[in-house]
Amino acid sequence: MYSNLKFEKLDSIENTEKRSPVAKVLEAFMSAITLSVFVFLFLSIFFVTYVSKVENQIFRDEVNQVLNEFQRVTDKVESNIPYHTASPVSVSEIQVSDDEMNAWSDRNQKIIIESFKLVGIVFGSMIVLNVLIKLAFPQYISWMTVLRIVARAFLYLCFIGAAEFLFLRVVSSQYRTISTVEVKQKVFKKCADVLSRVE
Amino acid sequence: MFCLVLNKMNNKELVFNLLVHLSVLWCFLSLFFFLFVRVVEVEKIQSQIDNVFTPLVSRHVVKMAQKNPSPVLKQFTANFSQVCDPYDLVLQQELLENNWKVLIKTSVIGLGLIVFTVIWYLMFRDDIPLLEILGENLLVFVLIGIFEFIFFTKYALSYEPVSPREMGDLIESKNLKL
Repeated sequence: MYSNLKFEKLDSIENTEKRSPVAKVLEAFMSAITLSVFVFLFLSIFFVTYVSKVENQIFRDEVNQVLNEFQRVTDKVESNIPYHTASPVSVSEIQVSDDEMNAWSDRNQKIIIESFKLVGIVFGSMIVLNVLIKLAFPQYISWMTVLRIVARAFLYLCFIGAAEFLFLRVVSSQYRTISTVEVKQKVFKKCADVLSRVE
Repeated sequence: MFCLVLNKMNNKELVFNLLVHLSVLWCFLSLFFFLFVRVVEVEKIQSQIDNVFTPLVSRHVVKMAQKNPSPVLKQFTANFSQVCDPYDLVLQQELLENNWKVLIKTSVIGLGLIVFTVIWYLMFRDDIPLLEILGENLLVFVLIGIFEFIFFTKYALSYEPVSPREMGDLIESKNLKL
């Protein structure tokens, strides 16, 4: 009951504020800052926790397609060249040491930590800026307005998250960026160049 | 508490603002993906192929050519870099079809959002302060654009989702023979 009364009181202040153009501009500004920082925060966490994994899968799929295409061609080599005994391509040269793997992992961890520092700074600045605006213009912005801005930003964020997820599933992971034919041609061109130099 | 706060808002304005936001976001993401991410992705994969796979295969081809006195292998390899395999056309066609489908899906969703936003506005135009909402969204996307640009150029592009070992494992799993 008390909460409802308090709410009604705050609501009446809101209605008064709505009549002032200064209050409108300030609210729009605060709303834009809050929402953009929320979206930025979301996209950063989304990138580190989910997009990087999807990217890994996309990369693997694309390289896999290139290798499948290459395998099809090498099978042809085996059947087309007389007296040629095909031997497996040795991958021992690309065995990666544990040190290299650790360096890779450290690099990525450092990037994540640095990016979250930036996210923290941006998020902190947003809170400070909003509080400063509220304290500097108490006649235009009430705590109720601040609460409404945050609530609205949270609501939008749910839909933005869904849109991002949909985009990643429908567009990013379905679109094939690399042409296996072009990659194959490039590899063979390089091989032909190397062979001509050997000759 | 949040629900209570949201109940007190002008729902028509709220939905319109959300629709504008989603439409702009979808267009922003699509442009960002097709103009920037796609190019970066190709470069990343191509560089992995150039740095790991191509030297491996070319070294192997040289070794095989030295072992094998017949010049057929050389001819074969040289031909493959110039002549188009008939199956290549099928692959290119598949790639084009797939990418067109994705492009059409993206456009349909984007256009659907825009059309729905316009319809919503036309239905409730008296309750919707159009310029305020557009101005707010413009500011939101300028800020998001700046933050994202910093985030992508400083961090996301340096992030390596695939470990160096994975490329080797992928090649090994194919057991290529030449």
